[in-house]
Amino acid sequence: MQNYIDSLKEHIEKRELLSILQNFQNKFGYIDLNFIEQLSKRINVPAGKIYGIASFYNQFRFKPKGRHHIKICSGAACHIKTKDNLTSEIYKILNLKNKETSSDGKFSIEFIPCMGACALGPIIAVNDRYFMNVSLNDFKIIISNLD
Amino acid sequence: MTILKDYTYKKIFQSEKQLPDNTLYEYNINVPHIFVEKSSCSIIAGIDKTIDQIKSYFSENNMEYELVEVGSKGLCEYDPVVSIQVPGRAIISLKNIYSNIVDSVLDSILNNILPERELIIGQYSHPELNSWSEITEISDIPFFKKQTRRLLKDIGNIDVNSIKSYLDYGGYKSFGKILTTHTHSEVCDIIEQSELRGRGGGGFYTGLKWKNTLNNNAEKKYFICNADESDPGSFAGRMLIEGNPHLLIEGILIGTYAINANEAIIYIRNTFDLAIKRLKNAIKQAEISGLAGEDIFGSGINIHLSVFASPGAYVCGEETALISSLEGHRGMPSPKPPYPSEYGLFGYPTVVNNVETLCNIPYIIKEGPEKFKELGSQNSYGTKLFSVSGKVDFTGMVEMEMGQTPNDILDITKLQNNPGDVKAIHIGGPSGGFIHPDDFNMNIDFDTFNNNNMWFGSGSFLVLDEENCIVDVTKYYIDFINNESCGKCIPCREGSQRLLEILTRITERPRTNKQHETLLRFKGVTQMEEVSKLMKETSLCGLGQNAPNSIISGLKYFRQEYEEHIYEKRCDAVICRNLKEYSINVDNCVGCSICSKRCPSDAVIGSQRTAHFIIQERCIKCGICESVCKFNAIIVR
Repeated sequence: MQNYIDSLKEHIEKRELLSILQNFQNKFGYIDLNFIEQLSKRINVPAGKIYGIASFYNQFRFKPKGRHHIKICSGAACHIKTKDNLTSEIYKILNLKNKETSSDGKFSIEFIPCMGACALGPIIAVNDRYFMNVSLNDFKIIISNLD
Repeated sequence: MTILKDYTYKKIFQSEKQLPDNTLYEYNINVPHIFVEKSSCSIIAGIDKTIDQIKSYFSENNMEYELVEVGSKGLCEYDPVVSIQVPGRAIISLKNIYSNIVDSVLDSILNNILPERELIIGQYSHPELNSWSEITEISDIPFFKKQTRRLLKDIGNIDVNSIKSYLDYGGYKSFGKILTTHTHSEVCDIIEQSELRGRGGGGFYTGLKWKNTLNNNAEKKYFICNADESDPGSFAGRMLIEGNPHLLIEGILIGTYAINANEAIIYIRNTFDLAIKRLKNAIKQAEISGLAGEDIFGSGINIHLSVFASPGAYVCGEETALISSLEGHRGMPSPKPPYPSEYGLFGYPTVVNNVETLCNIPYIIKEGPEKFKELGSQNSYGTKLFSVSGKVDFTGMVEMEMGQTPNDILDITKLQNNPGDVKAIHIGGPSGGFIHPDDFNMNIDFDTFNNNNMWFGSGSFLVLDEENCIVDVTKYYIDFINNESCGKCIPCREGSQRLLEILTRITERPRTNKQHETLLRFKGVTQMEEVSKLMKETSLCGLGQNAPNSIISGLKYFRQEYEEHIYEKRCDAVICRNLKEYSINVDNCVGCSICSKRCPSDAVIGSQRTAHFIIQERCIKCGICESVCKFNAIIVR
């Protein structure tokens, strides 16, 4: 992380803040709160303000992703095609909420507003594998097959 | 990728290679051509595996071939779609080509034998080529036949990774034309005459916006393309970029020239990986060919294009919020005036236009405003894209003439459009509202919708049937608004929270059955109407003002359904989980006792081998009994 901060150029404008945060997240998978503190000293913007900006947007997460990052499409078409209260059952099965990671680091979940494949819903992605027309039973099978 | 350094402006103008409409690429080929429709939808369906399989098939058989990546024609239901052209034969388009059937399909087609009928969509005939017998023309398929495909005309034909392919279809000619023969204000005049209105939802006249910005003298101006399409259920803009990235870039270049700016920014969702990749590639190609960047074709005009991957917030669809996000702040809207055309990005005059709006520009310049106005109805000219999803047979993107009706869209997206099959249509995403079947003959244009207090926004078109609950869908959208409200103004921040609470309360069973509980629940509905009105009148931006549309239209047309939820505590669609009532069918129950053992609240009673019974007061509606019963004895109502 220190290397990343050192690699930033001398003068940073406010408009570049978002891309700095995005690059950090792409590299490390999440926004570390220590990073925000160090960045704040570096660019002379209060840490609270940076956190406020980061937490405003959907992209940023403040906890590392789990080994199995589960993305769930919460688009309108997927919602009306979903049966068995799939989303609330997923909350229950994994005991997690949006953008959270389980304590053993195995699972993390994230809701995506629309993945753009409305014909095939409900859609769930585990890391980069996609599952279509997922029912509650399918989801249980998918989960049990992950180590 | 061929580097097109020699592609001078003159060459672009003189290349008059006319390709017939609806024909893929060229007809005179020596090796088999495989066209794969790679889009965000087909990636999920597994097109990457299909492509790998195609590649390995040809390398195993030591055959030469050409693989062309094209955009999706809009039929998401059929993904992965692959079209194949063998030398001398018409192109045949196939659906659902998963990797496991690639080998057998290629085997038969390369030997001039048709594959199984259920895999075939249709063919593209050409006078010079042998057609396949008894196969329908793609253009005769109802889904395509009844559309007016103006923006989508070349999608699915153009190689998305090649600027040459776009140029062959007459691309960048409009830009070349204005660069040599038109002044900045003349371009604005043409767009103003065409009466093109913003397709993002607001419906503001694009030409007027451009003119206002042009007339503001400033040392710097910005042109922004809003590609942050984030309504749940709206994917038309994304597919447009994926299918024809150069069309958008040409529109942006013309717009940037028209307002005399030097910098254009495309603000696009970070999750649209494929669209971003193709856009960046297209920009690079345009720069290498001298169509963008410094000193375009020696005219002394510089236009720099850049892509900003937005970190994602629904409210950033509002132009002032988008600008504040680009400046590196929280994406919150600010009151207008001042309008961005006076005081926009970093204080300079700025134009913000939607993807679909900009894709109309090259056509208007090429064919003239009068030709553009041939389609459409009074005050709304041209076409509109709709992302049709929900309970239809063909989910996908359709392009309709302005002023068509919801029935027209249902006609092409459902196999049989019987009256009564569709309960309602939700149009316009979270900011839109419901349309009742009685109004399915209403014209979809700006004036009709404004008069009815409706909004078609970016064109999401969600079809609901009897299995969907209006209250549940409304709750879903209000929940979305509640999450996405930026929190700046109180009506939207608190209003959406209260609306969600009221909706949650009526979709849950009251703790007691006393009369005043029912009264409280009903009071919620009257309060809901008040809150909605207040939000509409006092919210700062379009997000808050349009948020209660679902509730207002829902209460107007489906009041009975709300009343059923409140008084009878009944959800006919059996969607609202907490209103469900579980009981046991005595005839089917064999008394295995598994449900009573698994019930977490001891609500199921009964002795072994006799029919059981559920005590309603104890039931917590978890649904476990239903999932464990092997005899279908649990009735859910």
